[in-house]
Amino acid sequence: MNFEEMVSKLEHFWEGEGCTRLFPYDQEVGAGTLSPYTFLRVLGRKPWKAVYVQPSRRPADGRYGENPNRLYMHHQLQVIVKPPTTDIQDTYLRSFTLLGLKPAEHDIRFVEDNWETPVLGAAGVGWEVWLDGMEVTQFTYFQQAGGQEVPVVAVEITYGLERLAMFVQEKENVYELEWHDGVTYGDLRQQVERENSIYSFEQADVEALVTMFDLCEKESQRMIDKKLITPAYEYLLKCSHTFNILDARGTVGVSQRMAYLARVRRLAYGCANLYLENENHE
Amino acid sequence: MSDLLIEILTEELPARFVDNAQTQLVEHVTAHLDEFFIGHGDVHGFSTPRRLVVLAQNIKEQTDARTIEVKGPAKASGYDAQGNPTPALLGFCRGQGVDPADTYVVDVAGKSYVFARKTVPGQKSSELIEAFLPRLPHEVTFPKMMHWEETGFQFARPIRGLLALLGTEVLHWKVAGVMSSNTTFGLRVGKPKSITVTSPDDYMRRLREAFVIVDPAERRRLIERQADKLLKPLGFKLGDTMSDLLDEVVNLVEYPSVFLGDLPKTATELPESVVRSVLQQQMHSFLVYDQNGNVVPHFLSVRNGLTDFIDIVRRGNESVANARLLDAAFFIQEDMRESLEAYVGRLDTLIFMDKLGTMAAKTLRLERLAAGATAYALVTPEEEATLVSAAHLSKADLATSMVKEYTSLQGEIGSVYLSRAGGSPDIVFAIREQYLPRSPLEDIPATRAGRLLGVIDKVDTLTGILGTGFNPSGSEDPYGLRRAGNGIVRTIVESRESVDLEALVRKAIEAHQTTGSLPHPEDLQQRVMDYLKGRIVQYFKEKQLIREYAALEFLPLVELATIPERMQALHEAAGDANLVTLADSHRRIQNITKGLPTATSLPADLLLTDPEELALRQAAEAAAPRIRQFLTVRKYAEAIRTCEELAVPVTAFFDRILVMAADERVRSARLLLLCYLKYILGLVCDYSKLT
Repeated sequence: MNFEEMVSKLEHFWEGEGCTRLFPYDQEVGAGTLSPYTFLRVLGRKPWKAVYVQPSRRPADGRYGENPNRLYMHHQLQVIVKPPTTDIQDTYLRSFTLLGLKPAEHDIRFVEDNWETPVLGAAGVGWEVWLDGMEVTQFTYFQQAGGQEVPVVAVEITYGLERLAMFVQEKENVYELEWHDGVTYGDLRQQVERENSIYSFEQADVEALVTMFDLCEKESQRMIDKKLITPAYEYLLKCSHTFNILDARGTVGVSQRMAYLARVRRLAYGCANLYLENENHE
Repeated sequence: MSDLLIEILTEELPARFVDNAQTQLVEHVTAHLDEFFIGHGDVHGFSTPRRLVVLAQNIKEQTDARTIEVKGPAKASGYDAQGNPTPALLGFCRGQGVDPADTYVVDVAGKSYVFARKTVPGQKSSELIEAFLPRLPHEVTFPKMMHWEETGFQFARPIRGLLALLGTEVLHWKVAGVMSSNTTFGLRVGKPKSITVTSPDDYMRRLREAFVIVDPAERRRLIERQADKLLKPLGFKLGDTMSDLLDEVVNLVEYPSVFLGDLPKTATELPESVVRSVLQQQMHSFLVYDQNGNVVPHFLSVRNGLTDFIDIVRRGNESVANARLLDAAFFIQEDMRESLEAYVGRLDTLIFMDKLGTMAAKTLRLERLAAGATAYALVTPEEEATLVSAAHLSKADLATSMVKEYTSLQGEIGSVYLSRAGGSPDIVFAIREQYLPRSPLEDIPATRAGRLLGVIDKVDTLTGILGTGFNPSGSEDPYGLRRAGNGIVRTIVESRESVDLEALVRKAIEAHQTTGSLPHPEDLQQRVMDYLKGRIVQYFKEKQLIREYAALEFLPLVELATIPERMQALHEAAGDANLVTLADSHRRIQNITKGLPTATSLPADLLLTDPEELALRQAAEAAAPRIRQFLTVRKYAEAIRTCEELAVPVTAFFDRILVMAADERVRSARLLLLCYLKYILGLVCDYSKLT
């Protein structure tokens, strides 16, 4: 089963479970959690069920397209179910059968792993899911977001699509994955990985990025003041990605690092508060 | 009589929580049964990653009728002036269902009250149990809790089923939106099918059929037996320190099936500590050794489930292990493009602890402390130079990719890189050993530089954290202060390496003040010393040597390293008759001279005339220089024996001499003699604590 087929099977499966199928958010994010489809929608009391693929960029994890397991950008399939159904684990396990994996033939484990994104004031409790020893999913019950306890818990299921595909296709190297018949992951991504690694480790213009961060922060704050959540949040995402490049570039000192994270967090709290204010008005 | 079975079915609990939760549940069930006077036999606990189970045997169907006393109003308000019951008393009697004529008066703490005796009839146990069941899940606490449904109820993971059977009777309860039933689920294989159970015995049987072994002890035995069966024929074995991992694995599976996997050739070329981290920490699998204790390219792992299709599971695990080991090999190769020294320069990007600056600052402090080692330890200039070099490189590995990926390998990776680059063995060992002992079971560093570096590092941490104003009195130990304190005490006591902690802590405070701010420097020296003293007391308590320690507690901390030898000497002298006498005399001396300073010598013209006092003076003055000499050369047994020689003249003195003589000059001469004895004995031991 090639990559695109695997993705569309999983998307359709969750669609069948009542999730709205969405397209990837059109901005750079470090994880599917940062997409407003997750971060904003897990706030407040309104129910929400969604599934979407999210390309996730982590500049510091780039390896010039040379490491078989590590990527500047990988793909997550993000599922949000809020509030969670009582058989959510079983539903999740059922999704494996679509990929030709029979649970009885494997060892599937839920191994404690609690997750935290300090930059969003978000934290959850859950597991990493092991498939014959390979970590293929992060399964989390949101407990906090925007620095506050969530009033209604959401389950976040994040499939690591490259990992899962390597398991399904029995490949040891991510670049050998079949994306489409006759088209490999390497054909599509290896050069991009190389270029982006060179950029974020060697070429990124630190001064320009620092300025960019400042500008985006200012714009985000200005939009928070105008109570326009979406642009405010989109500029926050630009801040977050800009910071990630600076971080990978190795020019951010410890105290600076804390300060940058605190600045992004302040914006995240601002957006979260606006979102909740809006929901309370409705 | 019937057995009571309770099951709380959950989503997968963290393995580290399971044993403790099982214990708590047993305690609470037992407490509730006793609270309601429900007769019962043994109460057993069982657990798997997905269920907490209690089996209470031989529950009596009914509780016995009991007579209880109920306290009513005070006598004064219960009866009027004529001795007739007041409305208050009548109300009380109505409420309790007793006749006013059957009440009686009892004095309670000097005041008279009316009491009634009434009979509580026996009740059905099942009803009483049903009443306390919903409380149980609320009473179990976990180090980390979560909520998941609308009532906001907190548990370690979501509860998905409740079951309680008293014999064949199904008990009804509800927690966090979950209704109890007489069904449960077996091992997760394929589609979940619910299992209906009819009795506690049936529960155990049906679960076993559904591939769940609820008894963790049995799972552990199964794992050990299966591992043995696989390894013995090959001449292999597991390592000696597998017990913690086994505890964890037992609670990761409901039905264990052990398998042996192959490792790539890379495994035997990588440092053993790296392979161990990859397999044990990341994969919860076991390293395998040959009879000579060398790692062989295999690993042992435990599947949650049956042996069917286990080859698929094995292959999956092998390829994960392979990928991870290759990844580690890649990191090591990348890291080693540069010298360890190069990573020292990057320590300013790593924070040591909030408010305490970076690892670069910590390194500077350690170097500074190492460079002044002669002030607090007996080191040669060469040893001091080694220590400075080791301190300089000690934290460098924290900036390597390997340690960022495998934090538990701190120290280990630095030493591997330095050794591969041909670094001096003394420094290599010191870097590896600086974090020892990480647990009470682990040995202290074997090398001198390792011990000193470890002590310096821990003193720096302790001083810094207490200097942030952190109050360590609570049961939580978020910064690992207890481990640091215990490490310092154990290293000094067990190696008998003399370190002047008082001086070291003073220097550590100075060092903190040069590299940055200490938010709370007030009384810091005292607070650190008090904390260390607390750890010392705790150490000897755990060794069951607290009585011996009490006799030596007066010693300044610089003598900490000599305490084991001093205890040994006391231990050898324990049977001596003179020691007992001496202990009594020491106590008498202390009592009589209470508030008076010790006298380190006696004036020549001291007014002593009786033979017993003269004899004691002579004996004491003869003993003093010998005792001081013995202490200098750490001959504690001889010092004690010399003190014991004073037992006879001291006893004779107390038998014949009245210290508190009427003549003031005589009295003060005698007291001064005793103050001199207090001084001499006190050099060696507080014998009075041995009575």
